[in-house]
Amino acid sequence: MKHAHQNQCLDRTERNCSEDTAKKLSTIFLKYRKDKDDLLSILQDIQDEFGYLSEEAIHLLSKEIRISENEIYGVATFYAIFRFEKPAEHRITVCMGTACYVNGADKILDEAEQKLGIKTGQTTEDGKISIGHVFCNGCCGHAPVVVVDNEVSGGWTPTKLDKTIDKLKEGSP
Amino acid sequence: MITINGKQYPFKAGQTVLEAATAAGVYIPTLCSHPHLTAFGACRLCLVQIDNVRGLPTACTIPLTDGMNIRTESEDIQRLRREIMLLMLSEHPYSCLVCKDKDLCVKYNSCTTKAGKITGCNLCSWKEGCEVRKVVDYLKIDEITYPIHYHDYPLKREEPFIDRDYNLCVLCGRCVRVCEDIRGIGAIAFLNRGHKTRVGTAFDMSNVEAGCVFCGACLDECPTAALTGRATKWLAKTEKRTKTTCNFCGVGCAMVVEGRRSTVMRAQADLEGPANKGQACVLGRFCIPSFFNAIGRLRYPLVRKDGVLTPVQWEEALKAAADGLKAHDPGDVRIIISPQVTNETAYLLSRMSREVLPGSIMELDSAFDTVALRSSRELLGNAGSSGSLVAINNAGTILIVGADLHLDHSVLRVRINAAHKRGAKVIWLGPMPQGEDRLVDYHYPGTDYLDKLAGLLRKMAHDAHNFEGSNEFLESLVGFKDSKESTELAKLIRGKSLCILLGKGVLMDQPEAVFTAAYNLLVLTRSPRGLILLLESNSQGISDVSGLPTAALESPPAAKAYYVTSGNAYVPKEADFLVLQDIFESPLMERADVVLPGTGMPEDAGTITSLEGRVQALDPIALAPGMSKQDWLIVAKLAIQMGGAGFAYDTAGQVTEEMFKATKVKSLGLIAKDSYAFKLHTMEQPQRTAHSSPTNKNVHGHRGADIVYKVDDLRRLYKYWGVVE
Repeated sequence: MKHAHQNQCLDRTERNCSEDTAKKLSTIFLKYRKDKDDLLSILQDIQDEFGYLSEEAIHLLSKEIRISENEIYGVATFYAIFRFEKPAEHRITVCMGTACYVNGADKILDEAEQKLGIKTGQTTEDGKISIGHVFCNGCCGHAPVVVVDNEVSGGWTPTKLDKTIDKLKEGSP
Repeated sequence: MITINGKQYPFKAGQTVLEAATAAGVYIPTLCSHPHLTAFGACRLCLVQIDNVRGLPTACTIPLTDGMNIRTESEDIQRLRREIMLLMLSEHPYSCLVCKDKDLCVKYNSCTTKAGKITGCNLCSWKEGCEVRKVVDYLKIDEITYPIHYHDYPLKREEPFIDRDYNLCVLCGRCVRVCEDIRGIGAIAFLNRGHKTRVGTAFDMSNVEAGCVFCGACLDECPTAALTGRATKWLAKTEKRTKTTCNFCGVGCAMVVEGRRSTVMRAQADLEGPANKGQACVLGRFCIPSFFNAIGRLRYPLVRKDGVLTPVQWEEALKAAADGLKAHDPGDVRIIISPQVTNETAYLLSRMSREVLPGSIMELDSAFDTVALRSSRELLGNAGSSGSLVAINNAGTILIVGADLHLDHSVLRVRINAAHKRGAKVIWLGPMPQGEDRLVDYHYPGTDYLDKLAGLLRKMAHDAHNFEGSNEFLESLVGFKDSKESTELAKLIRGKSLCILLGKGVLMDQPEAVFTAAYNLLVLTRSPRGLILLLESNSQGISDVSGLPTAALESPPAAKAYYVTSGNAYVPKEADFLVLQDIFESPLMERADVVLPGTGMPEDAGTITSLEGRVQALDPIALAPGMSKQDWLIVAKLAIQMGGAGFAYDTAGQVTEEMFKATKVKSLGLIAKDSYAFKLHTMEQPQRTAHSSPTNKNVHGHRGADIVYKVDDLRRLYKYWGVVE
C-alpha cells in the first residue's frame, strides 16, 4: 500500500503521557477485569490517584477496556463527582454568607481576585491557587470566614489574605 | 393475531408493537426508533395502551404476544404525547411549528432561505424530511405553553462535510447509537445530564480527532436538521430520485440518488441495499455529488489538430479514432479497461477486441485486481471472491490482510463489527489505520504477509492429511520458517470458520504466493466460501463479461495504438496513437490524439458487479454534461465506425439483454458460484522482489481523476489522516 497513512499519521495515540502516569494507571487497571461494568470504579480510582480525569488517562483507559474515549467521557460527565481539570495546589474559599458579607467578605474576595489576577472559580496559570466562594460555612460568629485548604478560620481582612496568598505562593501554607 | 385499534392483524414472532403497527400501516409517532437500531425507548412518544398491561408502555420496546389488544390513540395517550412533545420543543426553535400560517408558508414559500443559524422551519434546509414536524402535525400542537429554553450552542461548521447545529437536537440518540452499535466507531456520545445533556466528543475535541470517519450514518439517522451535509444542503429542490449503485469501490452499495438536470444533488444509502443495508461511507455518502459535479468534466469530443486538441462533432471524433486504430495492425492495438466502466461497456469492448480488432490485447487497469482475479481463477476455477459478503457475518475468525478499511471498502467494517460483537475474532495483518484497535483483536503490523501465512500453514500442517495434494503441499512448506507470531495465529484460527479479506497491500509482498497461502488456509479450516477479494469498482463484472484478466505474459509486447478508458492508465511515451475515453481532464490528455467524453456513475445506465458477484443496475439520475455520451454507446458507435457488425443498439437495456445471453452474467442479483475442487496447492518460495504497482498512484483513482483532489473536504480529512500532503 503506497499510502500506509498510519506511518505518517498525526498519531493521536501518542498523547504526552509520562511514564509515571502510565505506570500508576496500569496498577489501577490490574485491579479490574477489562470490562465495561467496571468503568465507574476505575474512573473513581483514577480520580483518587490523580485528583482529576486527564485526557491521557481517559485515552489509556479507552485502549485498555476498548470503549471509545467519547463514551467514557460521556459517562464521566454524567456524574458530578468527576473533574476534568487539574485541581489547584491550594484552594481559597471565601464565605459570602450574610454575616460574612456584611463584615466585608466582598472586599476580601476582591483582594484575592486582584492579587491573583483571576476570577472566582478559576485557577492561577501555574496551577498553584484557586479561589472560590460559598454561601455560609456554618460558623457565622467568626465572620468574615475564609477557608484555606480545608482549614476554616475567621476574622479575615484583605491585608491578612494578602499575606496568606504570599505565603502560599512561596510554598509554605 | 393481534388487534390494533379494533382491527385484526397477523404478526411475526419477535416483532415489537411498533414494527407490527408500522407494517400494518398504523402510524405511531416516534423520534428515537429506527428499523436498524435496537429499541431505546427514549422519546416516549410511542406510548400505547395494551389490555392487561399496566400503564402506558412504549410500543418500540414491547415484544408482541398472541392476542394482544393494542390501542394507539386515546385522549389520555394524546395528552401525554403532546406534553412530552411540548417539553421537547421548549428547547427547539419552534416558532414556525406553531405558526398559524404554517400551511400557507409551505405552499407558497417553498424556497429554502440560506441562513447559517436556524431559528425556525422557514430557515431550515431539512423542512421536508423533518420528523419533528411530522409528529407536531400529527399531535396538532398549536401552542407551546412552556418557557423557551433555547441552548444557544455555537454552530460547528469547521469540520469536513457535516454542519452541526445542536440547538435543533432532540436527543433521540440515533446518531450516538448508529455510530457505536452499527458502525463500531463511537465518535460521539451523550455528555452531561439533565437539561445540559448534549451530543458531543470527549473534551470537546473536533470530530476528526475523536475518531470520526465521516461515514454520514449519523446524518442519515438525524430526525432534525441538527446534522446536515454542507455541500448539498442548500441546493435547489430535486426533480428526481432513483436507486442506483455506487461504484467508488467494489462493495456495491445500493444508493438513493437525487438529481436535477445535469446535477447530482444528494446521495444516501438505500435502507434495503443487500450489500450495505442502509450504510454508506464517506465516499458514497458525501463525494458522489461533489465529485461528479466537480470542475474539469469532459464535455466535448476532442481531436488533435495541428498539435492542439480541438472540440469537434461526434462523427468527426469517432472517425478520427476509428481511422487511427484501423491504421495499425490489430496486434499492435492495446485496449485498457478502467475498473469503473459498466459491464455493458466492458462487454462491447471485448466484442470489439474480438470481432473488429482481432489480435488486440485487452488489459484491466488495476494491478491488484488483475493479480487477484487471475490467481483466484487458477485456484478456484472462478475469477473472484469464493463467497458472498455473508461469509463475514458467519465467520468465527476474520483475517484482514493488507487492507485499509478506512480508505477503501469501509462499509465492510459494519459487517466485521457485527461479527466482532457476536464474538468473532478479528485479526489484522499489515499496517492498520488509527482507530481500528477497538475492532481488531490481534494486530501484526509487518508487511511480510507470505511469511506469516506460510508459517501459519506450517503450524496447521498436521490438519492437511485429509486433503488432496497434501504431500506436495507439505513438501513445499519445508523452506518456510516458523515464528512466534505464527504459533499465536494458529491458536486463533484453528477449528473455526475463517474469512479472509485480501486487500491491495499484498502487492507489497508476493501477491500470487499470498493468494495460494490464503486459499490453502481456507482449505485447512474448511471454509470454502471465506475468500473475499477487495476489488475495485467493477473489476469483477469486467472479468465476468470479458474474460479479463488474461493469462500473465512474461513480457507483454509494446503496443503502438492505445484505446484507454481511464486517464490513469499507463501508456508508454512511444505510443503513436492514443484514444482516451474518460470523464475528467487528466494528464494523459496531453498525449491523446482523440478524447471521447464518457459518463460517470450517476449518468450511466447498465449494470455493475460487486466484489461478491452481485450484479446491480445503474439508473441514470443526471444528464450527461455537454455532449458527453454513455460509455457503452461510444464503444458501440466506434465499433460501427470501424466496420463492426451487430453493434447497433438503442438502449443500454438491449446490450444488457444480449450480455445476459452471451456471457456468464445471466441476470441481476448474486451470481451463483460453482463449488470448487477443495485441494491444497503447493507453495512457492518467496523471491523477495518488490512488486511494483504502476496503477497505484492515486488514493481513490476514478477513471482519470482522483476523488481526493476533486472533493476539498475529503482532502482535508485525508490530510489529517496523513494520506495526502
